[in-house]
Amino acid sequence: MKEKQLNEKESLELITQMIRNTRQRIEKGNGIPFLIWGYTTVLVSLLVWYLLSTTGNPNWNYLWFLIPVIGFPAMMWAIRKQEKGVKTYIDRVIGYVWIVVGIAGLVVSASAIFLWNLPILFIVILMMGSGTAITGLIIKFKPIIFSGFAGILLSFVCLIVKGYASILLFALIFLVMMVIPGHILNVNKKHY
Amino acid sequence: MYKHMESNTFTEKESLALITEMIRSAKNRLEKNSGLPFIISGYITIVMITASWFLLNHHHYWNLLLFSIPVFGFLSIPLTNALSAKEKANHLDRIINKTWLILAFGLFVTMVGGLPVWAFPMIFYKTVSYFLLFIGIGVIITGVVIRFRPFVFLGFLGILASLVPLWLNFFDKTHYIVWFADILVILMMIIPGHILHYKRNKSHV
Repeated sequence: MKEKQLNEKESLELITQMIRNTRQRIEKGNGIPFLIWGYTTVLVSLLVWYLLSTTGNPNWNYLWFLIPVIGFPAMMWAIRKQEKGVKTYIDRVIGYVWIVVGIAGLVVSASAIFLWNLPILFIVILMMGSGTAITGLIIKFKPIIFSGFAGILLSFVCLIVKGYASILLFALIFLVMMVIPGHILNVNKKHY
Repeated sequence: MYKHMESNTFTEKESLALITEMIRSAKNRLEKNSGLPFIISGYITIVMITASWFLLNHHHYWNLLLFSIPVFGFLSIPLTNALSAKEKANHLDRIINKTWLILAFGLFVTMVGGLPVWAFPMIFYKTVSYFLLFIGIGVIITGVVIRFRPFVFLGFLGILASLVPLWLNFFDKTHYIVWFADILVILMMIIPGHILHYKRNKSHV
């Protein structure tokens, strides 16, 4: 392909358009990824909290792996149902960011089986908050930027609070960080 | 040139042309900067981790030296921009900068949040793990954005290896942690940084 030097105005307009396209795609996608991962995490957290606090059996912790088990197929289904359109590079970059953050989250979570004292809830919120904030800054969408930074800042609550209560806080932070912005995107979508 | 610009849509071919140009531009800028941000940040990280480790013997509060690493991380971004002041940063450069800013912020929050929780010198071992994890994430994202494979491979290595300091601590082999962290920073930042630097020199001879 022949390389073209863009002038400043062309470059700026096209980049603005790429961001707009990506933002519209995310908004048209109803914030579904945020809702899928947000609700799955909240529901699994509540389930684990309930079973742990009523039985005291630590084996219930394995249920945390329900999050990827439910989340990945649900995402695949959502992607297939999503409206077809030209994918911009910004879409791909956001995809890369979440793949990297997701793999890192999975690696760290899997290792928590052996490193039992790893503050896994704190690490997961920190990483997902970073992914959310990066996404928000790339597409310049304030609710996602704020929720991402809120996630990062609130993450250390799960470091300070010990015991089963930290699981409830974990669910609450995911509600703020993913579910609420997901619904804000849904509301915005109706204006298109 | 881009006929659909006025109607606010563009074809896949135009999109691809623009993307190719942006990646080439971002990669050239990084290469022209000679991978210096990676080299500088890498050496600073090594010096601070090593100094913090040795000074721990004098007083635990020397752990606080580690706080300077995310601060230097913040400072390396204007430094990068100053080095490439002649060229306008494109959107991919900004994505890379934003990614590193957020990761440095996350790291800073971790350290501040960890202060009341992790007793000295425990905070050193814990923090080193988070450093490696976050640097690994940042290196991979940079690698995929500019399509520079060494960053992607070495970043994944960093993520996988970030848990090793916690294992070393678990098995009471804490004296290996500092050397392990230094080697990983060399692998993830300094060597790829020098590769970029070398590529730049080669292409400008």
